[in-house]
Amino acid sequence: MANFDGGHYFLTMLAPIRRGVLTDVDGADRSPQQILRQILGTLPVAQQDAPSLASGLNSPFAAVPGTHFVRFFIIDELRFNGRRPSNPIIDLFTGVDMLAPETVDDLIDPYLVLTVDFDAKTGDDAELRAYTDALWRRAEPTLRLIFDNCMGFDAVKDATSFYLYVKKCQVKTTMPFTDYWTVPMPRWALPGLVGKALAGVGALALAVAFSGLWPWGPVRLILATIAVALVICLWLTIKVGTAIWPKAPHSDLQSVLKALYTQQAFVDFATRHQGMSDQDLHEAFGRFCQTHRPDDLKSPTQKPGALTSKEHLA
Amino acid sequence: MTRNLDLADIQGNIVRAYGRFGFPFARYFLFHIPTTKAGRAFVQKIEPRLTTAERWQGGPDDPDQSGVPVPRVTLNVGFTWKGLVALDVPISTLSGLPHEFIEGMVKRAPILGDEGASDLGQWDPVWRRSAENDTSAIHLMVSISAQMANDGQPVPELEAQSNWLRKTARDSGVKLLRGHARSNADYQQAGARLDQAADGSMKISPKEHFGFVDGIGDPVFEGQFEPTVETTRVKGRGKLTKEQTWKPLATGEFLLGHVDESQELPPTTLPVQFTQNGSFMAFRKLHEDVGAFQDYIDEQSAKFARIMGISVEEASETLRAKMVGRWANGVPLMAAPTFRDLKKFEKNWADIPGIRAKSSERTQTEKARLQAYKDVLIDFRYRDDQDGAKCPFGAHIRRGNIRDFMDPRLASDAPGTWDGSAISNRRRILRRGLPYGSFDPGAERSDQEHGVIFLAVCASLERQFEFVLQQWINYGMDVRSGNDTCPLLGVRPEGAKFVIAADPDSGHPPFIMDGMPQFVSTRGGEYFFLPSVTSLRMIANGTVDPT
Repeated sequence: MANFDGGHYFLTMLAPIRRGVLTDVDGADRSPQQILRQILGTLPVAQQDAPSLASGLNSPFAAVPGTHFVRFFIIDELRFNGRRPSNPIIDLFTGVDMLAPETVDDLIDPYLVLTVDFDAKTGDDAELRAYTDALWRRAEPTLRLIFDNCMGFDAVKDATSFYLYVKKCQVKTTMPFTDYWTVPMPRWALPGLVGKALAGVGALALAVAFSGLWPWGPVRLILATIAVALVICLWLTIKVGTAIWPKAPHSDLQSVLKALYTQQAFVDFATRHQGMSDQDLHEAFGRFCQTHRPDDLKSPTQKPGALTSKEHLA
Repeated sequence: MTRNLDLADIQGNIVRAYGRFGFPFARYFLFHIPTTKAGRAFVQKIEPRLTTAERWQGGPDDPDQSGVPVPRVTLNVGFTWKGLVALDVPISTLSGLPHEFIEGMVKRAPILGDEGASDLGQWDPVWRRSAENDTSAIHLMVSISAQMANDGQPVPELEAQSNWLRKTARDSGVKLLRGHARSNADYQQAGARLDQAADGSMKISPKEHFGFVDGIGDPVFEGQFEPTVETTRVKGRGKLTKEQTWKPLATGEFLLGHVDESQELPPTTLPVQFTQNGSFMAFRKLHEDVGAFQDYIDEQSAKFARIMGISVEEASETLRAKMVGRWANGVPLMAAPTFRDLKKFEKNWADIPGIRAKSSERTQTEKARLQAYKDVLIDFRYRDDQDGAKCPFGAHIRRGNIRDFMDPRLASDAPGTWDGSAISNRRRILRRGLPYGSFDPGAERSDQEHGVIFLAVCASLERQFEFVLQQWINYGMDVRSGNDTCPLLGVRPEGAKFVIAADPDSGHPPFIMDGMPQFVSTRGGEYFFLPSVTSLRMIANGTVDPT
């Protein structure tokens, strides 16, 4: 289950966008997709660059505890990439009619996609429920504004029905990005595991050959050994590929924000205290620790959804 | 096997930095083309005078003496997007040109950091008016470089060529644009620093206004030099291979119509001859605030000297070197990381100034010695300085030319796994500029007119020039320096700083230069297309689309 990986829950949901025409806030008739694009295009983003900082606004989802990323986008159709490439000689002999159109895949309705990456411990449904509850509590008006343009949302009345709606629309996240793992985990080094497995299969095959218990001759033994080795390699690859990674050290949102805060505070400290005597530096560092409390994850810290701690440090 | 380039078809300023070939003076003339007819007539008349990339007789790239005589003055031409429109190049051709060239330098301001002190409002009138008023738009630039006469003045051909150009423009009906700072000149001046030698003659100095030797690390590409010359020039200038040897960069990184480092042909127009053998050039007039630079160095040197327990002179020299990556005389920190190393280095190479100044023919031994010295200046890798204790990660030269610094396997001990400079091979630029303004002592305070005419030639302005400026000069993530910008050229957000790492074994703390002001700001510039001779003739004849 890749919805949960590296100590983070990766929620992906696809909500079909409503059909027909709605009356927009300005009284104009617009399609739900047009309305949705306008809402998403003007929704405040996190304070991540100069313009968003200058706006003074922040993403309504920044206030939801444990949120690393929230992203909305619309898939309105499947892009047709031309006819599938084929070999003209094979086509000739198999009677492929190049004048007959190939099937073009279509989406019946456009979809609104929501992807969220939030802190989790086990990845079970109770955690998802706790998160959607928090989402509903902190951002209900925004969620209503957005999802009112999606099919089936009229049934959503409260946190419970919102959770059920999310569950109904959820698709499995097949390739989560465990962004806080910056060092490889030796435990999962596939080549090493494959090497050991192959050595084991080879040893077993030799043991069988020399024991005289193999009744079907050497060629079949070799073929059987290769087959077993391939199955094991495949199994290992799938096993390693689908294994859930443990949480990267200090990768929960609170720790990340505190780390960013402390880093900035410390750069400032180091710059200001250059050339001080050991004694003075020691005392100053004591004051630094008292003020900034590096062990206290809660405060002082960087505001969620903000790029810097400038205001806090000033 | 390198393909022979049609050198007579390629503009000379693409393959040569004239300033380094004995042309210490340059003039940049800017023109507006009121009518297609006038523009074509003008281009037709200047085309025969164009300086091409042909080998020069007796030059370092002419071992078999088959080259053409060295001109006394050069002439090259570049067009802006608006210029090509004014010359009525067909839309079907124009639409194939890159979007950043079409937009022009002013629209790219947020990417180039041309805000605040570098804002359009600070630019020279000629550049500002070009952006603000279509009837003063810069359409075409003609650059002229000149050799020096014995008296240290430009050869008289410079004035003659300039006068010819003025007259030709007038006769053709093309408008020569004025408004270069406070100067009444009808061109942008540039000129190298000239130092008086012991015998009274003037010698060209490679130093810019901040006092650093400039223009050492220019890329070398396939076909630029004869093979024998290439072997010596390519060291430290080309690309570093997996095997840790130097090879020339692919021609297509600098010349359109040739295969580039991605084994691709750069995007082209129809007809392909329009861009073939051409290139793009970013022209930037960069003001150097020498006063602010000196004041800041003085202030920081006092602090650095006190903390490190060294003399203020040593502190000042060291800080300058750490900011740039080279000592003022061009010796790289990679060859002499500390002030003491520098003194030792200078002692070891004490014969070099003598060999350089020699007026008679150099002996074979002297030539070999000089070449060995030149190699030391350029032939180094950052693999040998992985913690930045010698050359800080954020130093100017370590940003501008990343070399192998970004090799993902830089820390690996297994030589076979190294990638050399693969990551930066598509981010190189040819620098073709010269300083401008007076070098007189006292003339170098902040408000005076001095700086560098920075010219970057590359096949893709966006992928090469803009990327290097935006990501490496004005941002620090790739060079592990966070938000810190280049200590020399960078724009300065509030609280800008520069970190000088210390050798972990030295017992010294790192030094942080804080409260750094901005030293360099933009005073003008534009993107130019440098066509081949073939393309220039097609433009002049109106036969880009012959149908």
